[in-house]
Amino acid sequence: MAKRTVIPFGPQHPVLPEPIHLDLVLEDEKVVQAIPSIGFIHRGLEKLVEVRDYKQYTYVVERVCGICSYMHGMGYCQAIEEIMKVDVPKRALFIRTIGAEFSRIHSHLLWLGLLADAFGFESLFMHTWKVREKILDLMEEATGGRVIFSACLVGGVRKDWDAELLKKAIELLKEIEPETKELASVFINDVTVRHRLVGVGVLTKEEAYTLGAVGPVLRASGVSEDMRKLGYAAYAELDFEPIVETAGDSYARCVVRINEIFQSMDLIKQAIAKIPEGEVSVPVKGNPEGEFFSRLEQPRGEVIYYVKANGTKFLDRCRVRTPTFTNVPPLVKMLEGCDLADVPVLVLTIDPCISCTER
Amino acid sequence: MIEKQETIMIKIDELVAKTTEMKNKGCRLVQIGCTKTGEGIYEINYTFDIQYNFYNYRIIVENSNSIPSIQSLYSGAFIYENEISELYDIEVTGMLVDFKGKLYKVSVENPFK
Repeated sequence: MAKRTVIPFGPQHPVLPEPIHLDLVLEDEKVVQAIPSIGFIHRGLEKLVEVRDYKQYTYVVERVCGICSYMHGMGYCQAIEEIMKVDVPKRALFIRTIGAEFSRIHSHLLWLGLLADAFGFESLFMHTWKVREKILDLMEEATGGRVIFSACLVGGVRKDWDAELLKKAIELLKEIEPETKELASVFINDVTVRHRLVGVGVLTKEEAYTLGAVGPVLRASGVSEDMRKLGYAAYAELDFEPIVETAGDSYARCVVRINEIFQSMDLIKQAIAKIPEGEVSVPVKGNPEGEFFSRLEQPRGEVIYYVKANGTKFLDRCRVRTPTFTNVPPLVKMLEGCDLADVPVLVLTIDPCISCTER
Repeated sequence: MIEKQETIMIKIDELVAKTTEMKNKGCRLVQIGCTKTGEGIYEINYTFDIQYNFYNYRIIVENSNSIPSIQSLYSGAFIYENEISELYDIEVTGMLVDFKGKLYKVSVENPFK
């Protein structure tokens, strides 16, 4: 029997943009067990619900994460709107959809860049983030922010996207689509990239399902589940099917995210073509009473906003179940049996957002 | 309305049977979440989904109660059960993966009672 060694991985590690800790139990170069621990950047944002009223809290939830902040705000607002039966204007729902899909594109491009960086392909990392910057510029023009957008509010959105801005969005897509295709061909076809990803960290369909995987991790293992199919925001009026791969390895997770970038581009075009005229918000009076589990498809997968309200302006509870949190059990499974050298890449393939996970 | 949601109250000793029912139906475990509702009283939601249909079972737990683990049915439940055990100090019996209080490394005092 080989000698067992325990290597602490993280919370600070060059490949980790955010802190998670794994105790890696090794037999020679093989990982036989991975024991996670979290909590290093716990900020107590859920606790803040006791001292911020339900409208102010929209701006707190946006700060759960710097990548999917748009969809955090959206998920929370949806929960309150469902409880209070607010009739959100249709134009606002389309704007939310456009903003959410741009967020998905920039999040996936961010991830592709980090992945390239993880396996030492520096120039690919830089080119990927160069494309991402253009989306952040547009988001800044649309919302005033590059990270925290404060775009969604209970009852709609804070700012309209006028005709000129929508035209700019279409022009941006025309510009970045060929650039992204070029980048995608490297991720999909390059021999060295494939060598690092194909057959690495296989998660079967059954494992993905019982371990609670969500998002691209789940879909890369052959499960066709995407919360956008619930039809929230304007998704019920858009034509799309979940992107699914069946191999369940790191390469499949990469391919799902690449194809989702192009799917998001298509969804934005559809939404812009169908966006109706009208108001972008309605005034919301009174306080919420009741509860709702708001489910959304973030770039990393299904997020749950559980909101419980008591009829006062302060909520009883706002629990956020983030996609990374539920993707930790699949990660632990993937790491079992892998080579030590593959650990950084495997950790990245769940697209971990520890900021979300810690709240 | 985005989706129909119904919460069904069950007793703690019905939890494993209901979870087995969900598993046999082919449901995915969406989440387990704990909420403090009073001094020493907690409600725990077990949420499942199949083909975008939402099921939620709720149990009420008092400090003296323990809850059974569902890890033998849904192995991924270990992340939720360890969280509940560490942050709310609720005993979860029969956990296959038990970090024994070492999943969360939080600098503030916990469990959050």
